[in-house]
Amino acid sequence: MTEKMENIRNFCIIAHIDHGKSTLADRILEMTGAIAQRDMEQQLLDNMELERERGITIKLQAVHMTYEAQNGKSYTLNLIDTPGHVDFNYEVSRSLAACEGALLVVDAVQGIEAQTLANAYLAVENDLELIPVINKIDLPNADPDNVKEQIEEVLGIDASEALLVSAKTGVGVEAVLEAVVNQIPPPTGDRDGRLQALIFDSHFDSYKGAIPYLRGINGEVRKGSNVTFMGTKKTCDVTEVGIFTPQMKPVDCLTAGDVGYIAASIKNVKDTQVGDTVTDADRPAVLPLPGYRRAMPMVYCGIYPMENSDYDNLKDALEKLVLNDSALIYEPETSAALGFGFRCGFLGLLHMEIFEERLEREYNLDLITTAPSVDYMVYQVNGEIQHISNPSDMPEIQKIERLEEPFVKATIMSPKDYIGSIMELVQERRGIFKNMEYISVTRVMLTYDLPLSEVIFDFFDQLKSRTRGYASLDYEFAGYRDSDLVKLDVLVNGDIVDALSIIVHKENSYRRGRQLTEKLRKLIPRQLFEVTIQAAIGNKIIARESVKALRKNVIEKCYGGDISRKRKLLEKQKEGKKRMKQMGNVEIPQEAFMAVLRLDES
Amino acid sequence: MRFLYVHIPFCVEKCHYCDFVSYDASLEQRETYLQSLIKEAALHREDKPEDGLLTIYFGGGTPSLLTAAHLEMLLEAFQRNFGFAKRMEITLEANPETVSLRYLKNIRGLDINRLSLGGQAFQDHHLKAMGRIHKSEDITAAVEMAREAGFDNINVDLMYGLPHQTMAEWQESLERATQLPITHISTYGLKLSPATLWGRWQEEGKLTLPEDDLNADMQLYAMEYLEKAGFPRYEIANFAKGSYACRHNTAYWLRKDYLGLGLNASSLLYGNLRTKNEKDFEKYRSKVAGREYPWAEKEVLSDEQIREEELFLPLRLIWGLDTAAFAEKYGVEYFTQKKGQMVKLFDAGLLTVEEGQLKLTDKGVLLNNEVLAALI
Repeated sequence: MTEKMENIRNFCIIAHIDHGKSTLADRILEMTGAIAQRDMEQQLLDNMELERERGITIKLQAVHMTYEAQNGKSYTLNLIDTPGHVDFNYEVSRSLAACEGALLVVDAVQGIEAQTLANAYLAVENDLELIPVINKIDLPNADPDNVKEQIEEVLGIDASEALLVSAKTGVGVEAVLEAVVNQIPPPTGDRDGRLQALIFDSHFDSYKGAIPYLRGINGEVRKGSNVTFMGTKKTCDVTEVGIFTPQMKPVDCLTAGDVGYIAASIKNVKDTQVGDTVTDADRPAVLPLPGYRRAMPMVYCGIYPMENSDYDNLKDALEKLVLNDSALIYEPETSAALGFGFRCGFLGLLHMEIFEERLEREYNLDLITTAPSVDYMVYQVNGEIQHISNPSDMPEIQKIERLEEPFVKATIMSPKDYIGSIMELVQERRGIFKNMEYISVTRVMLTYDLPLSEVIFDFFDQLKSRTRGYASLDYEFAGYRDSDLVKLDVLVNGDIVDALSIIVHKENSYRRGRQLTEKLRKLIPRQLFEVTIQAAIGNKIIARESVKALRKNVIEKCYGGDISRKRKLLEKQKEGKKRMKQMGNVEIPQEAFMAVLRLDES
Repeated sequence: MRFLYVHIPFCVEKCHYCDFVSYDASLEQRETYLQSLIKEAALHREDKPEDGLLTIYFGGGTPSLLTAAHLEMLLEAFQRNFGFAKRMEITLEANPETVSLRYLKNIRGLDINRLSLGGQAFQDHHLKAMGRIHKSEDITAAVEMAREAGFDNINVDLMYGLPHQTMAEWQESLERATQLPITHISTYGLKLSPATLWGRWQEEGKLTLPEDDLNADMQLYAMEYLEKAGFPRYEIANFAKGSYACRHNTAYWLRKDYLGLGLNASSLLYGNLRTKNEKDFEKYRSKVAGREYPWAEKEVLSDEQIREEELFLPLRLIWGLDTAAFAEKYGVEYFTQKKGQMVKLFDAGLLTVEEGQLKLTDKGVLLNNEVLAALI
């Protein structure tokens, strides 16, 4: 690409989930002719099936467009999509770093939400020109003036010129494109300098290998260049250079200011870490671009095949999936209850759920997943420090001097009517109040420090249900802190089921123990023997329930010798048993291992 | 094929729990149906057994709605097509309210020698609630008339697990039944399909049924009480004096070939073909009229399925499974592979072995699905 830099604009769209980011992107693509409407599947940028179902964007995409502006000049616009979910904050920050400006989309009815704020702050930190866009003005209860006030109040950005848009109907989208051209600065950089290109995303292509998405900062890269990834130290020969139209289209070279991709027969996306800098192997840059860090897993869980014989299939599936998901880490793990499996680390709960769904859906695996856990720091009496992400690995109580758990700084935005409910919830979850700020007459922003372990146990669902869906949440890691924690074991017919152990705060341990045994009593079906379920801390039993023995399960009547029906019923019953995990004499259903997640439901 | 089932899908009133195929048909429809049965029988003429039929079972519906003339016509057709063995068991299911002494004498004269009465309960409020058209006194009267007409092999069906039924009522029903001059009692726990009136009520929460534990107690009580009263159990739900076990139903459990005629009737042919007839009257009629088997379902059993059946069907009978014969046919590995499961079942007191026969205990009878699912 040899477009003059002054004719290039690199921008992204940041928005809270559901505020219409994808719809606006579609309209922009349509108007620039990047894609004909009839070719467009609903919301093209969200191209994974799961993303479409959940209405969220997980993987970043970048599209190269040409726009004839009203001033008569032709511009190259690169739209870089950003994920809208808190789990993927780091990826957001990298895509922001690839841009000079951002459209800040705010819903004309909902106003500013927690992720609007978090992402807008990130954009400001990255020195981006922010263009406020108030979307969904076609809705009857749209209140753009109120939203403008919120933007000014909370973000301190002049919103008097905010664009009023309906991405759905197309109203105001032209003005958005003009603002991109006129307000966002062109990229700067030295095209003759040493190559520095930022990786802001990647995907795995079965023919071309891992494909890093690049934003050129200085210098140029061509087919045949020999490049080095400065973070991972990997070196390779570039076999293709291209742009996204949005399909991959080879071009001669990418230079400073351009957005595109390279292919270099890279076997693993782990070698193309988001945030890393690509440079020329023969004439390397002195320093990498700032901001590179490895994605850090926050949530861990055990993933086991339902049938032990599926272990190799699970392993293959994990190997394939991580090719496309550099944030995921996994290692083999063994459980007395569940056999051989893997402990996997995720960016957050959503990331975990999506991953599990992909394993089951795309690889047709029948899995048992254990309740999610965070990574605890264990300070032992002997001076050793250990990271524990699997509760059953926790050393005995007497060996532990103290425990630390990860905390997050959580920002919650909500109509003020729900302050009471939110405070109550946060209290139950050991939250520490930090700040409360009115962002408009009716809306409030609350800041708390919360243990991450409390956030991952259906905190978001509870927040939503207690505020009728109005509250939004964003959080960021805030370091480790001392906590009074204990390991809670579950015994089924006297034997500890390691996969059911959890780590809980001492104060909540009795309540949790009672809730957990009750929940398990409801989930474990009656069997040939009475089943006792106990919760214990160390040697002390703190709760006990029992599932009475099953006494009757018989087909008596045989209408006119209909034996086929009987046989099918028996076969069905036998199939049902396969969905259970055999533990000694007791059969435990899959759902039981996730029971701890839904303790607050009755 | 020496066992014949004939389905008679006519009823005066549909019972509230019944999901079996039955209609209140006009006389004309009934005659059309009988003609179809005869035509269907003719389709199987080539399966005629060398020594004739051993049993015929008229089930329903309410077969006692057929006139003696109808029955005579059917029996003639069956004799023509299949021949009769010397000592046969011919059963007719009857509703106690539909039979008269004259009717019973007439059908006894046709060599129908076993009567199965749908008694169900001896409390009129239960019978009424179930949508039965008879009262408890009709059961006693029907049995007495049947004896007078020359029936010495009589069954009474009883049901437990009825809405609001108490243990005392169940005990009363069992006691009243055993005091009658009958040879056979069947006990069935109420199972509701959503297609029935009661099934819908259950889904809507309008029906109070006994708890599982009470149901289990009722079934256990029946097994113990009937044994003492001279009706030992010979099958999961069937109890008989002396040698009066139902030869027809026993054939199902011994995996003998049998032919089912009529709507929704099942058959086992050639040892590996299980079929089920159409349950739509018009489809059934037109297929038979076109000299086509009126099958809605047809399943050729795999060797594995046959093995499963040979395992689970005999276990329903008190004599159990001949382990030596089974092991000889399928290899002793079959049992050694299942050792873990079997030990668990022995430990739980659900299975026993006596003189090489693998048997369900009383407790195992109540849990027979669990046992069988573990063994197949």
